[in-house]
Amino acid sequence: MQATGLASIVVGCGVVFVAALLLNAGAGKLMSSKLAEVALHETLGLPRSAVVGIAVRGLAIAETLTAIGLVIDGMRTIAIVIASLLGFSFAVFGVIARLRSVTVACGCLGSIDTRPIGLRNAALGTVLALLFPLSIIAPPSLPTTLAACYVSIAAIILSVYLNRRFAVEPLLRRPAFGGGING
Amino acid sequence: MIELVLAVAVLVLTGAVILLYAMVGELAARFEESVLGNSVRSFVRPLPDAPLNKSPKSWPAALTGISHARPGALLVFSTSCMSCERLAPLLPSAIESFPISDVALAIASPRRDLAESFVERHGLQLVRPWIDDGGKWLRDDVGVTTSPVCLIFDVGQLTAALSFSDFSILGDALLKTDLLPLERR
Repeated sequence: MQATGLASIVVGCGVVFVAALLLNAGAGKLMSSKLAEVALHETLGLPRSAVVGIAVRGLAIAETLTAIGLVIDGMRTIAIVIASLLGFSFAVFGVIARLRSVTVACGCLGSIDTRPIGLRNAALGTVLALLFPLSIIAPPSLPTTLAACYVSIAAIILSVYLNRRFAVEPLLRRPAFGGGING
Repeated sequence: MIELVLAVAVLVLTGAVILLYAMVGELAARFEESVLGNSVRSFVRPLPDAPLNKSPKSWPAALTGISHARPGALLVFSTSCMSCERLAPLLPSAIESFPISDVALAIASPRRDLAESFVERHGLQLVRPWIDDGGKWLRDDVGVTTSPVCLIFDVGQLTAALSFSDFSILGDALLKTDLLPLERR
């Protein structure tokens, strides 16, 4: 009984983390779809066109709605399914990028995500994809109001962490290429 | 009911804060683009996890010139890389103004005929590229698995590994480093 309760809390934490991640990913891509368009072009060979730009923004809206769905108790199950499907597709995307040795930025979180797409994305996608099977084993017990508070706190912490490049780096800026490129 | 309203209010405020941060990120990226001329398609960045300060286990005969150069640049393309398709036709003219005189090209490809077709399609015959079958030498002996990259060797030792998207920006970046002898900077 205790083990089930603990598993339920762990899955609940997973739901909060995934919702916070999706909120940030959605906001980033809504602001800027350019990097994601380049990543799609390099990985899947999709042309850089207005249609792809709209598709990226559509994905951003889907991510945001899924995050909201994860917060609302009555919509959580379907949101978990969608989050897992999104995670699976991100994982496949990361693996393809790795196989093709793609070095461009992922753009998964808009302009703030400048690291190359690859296995990191595949790993994160796998975590998202695991949410659905885990939620079947131990359904999260999380009232809407509590979920909203937890997701808000997690999303803001994640946002500050992801944007530390702009908040912290200017204070600690070193001259570009000052001590050798890789040094 | 009041709890639900508060929850929605908190979520809306959170959304606003996150959008604000995303906006700052976008503005910072645009600022960097305008000040540094470094657009999303134009970048030079160190390759993570490159085995720096190590020498390849062996050198193919075609690249012995690079193994003795001080410094020598090895450009790496792959037949399965979209950026390489875009950069390859620009290479013959870019190589003339490249800040390092000892430059060689390695093309990693799962099949030799694909690499030969790549060379022919992009007019790279004059550069006399060396074809790395299956990318085996690059992967096993050098420890590099991505492309396009520029590997800088100093008497055979890897001193820098740069992922790049533009030859002119790569050249500018090399000129700003201490990788080149002083008279060439």
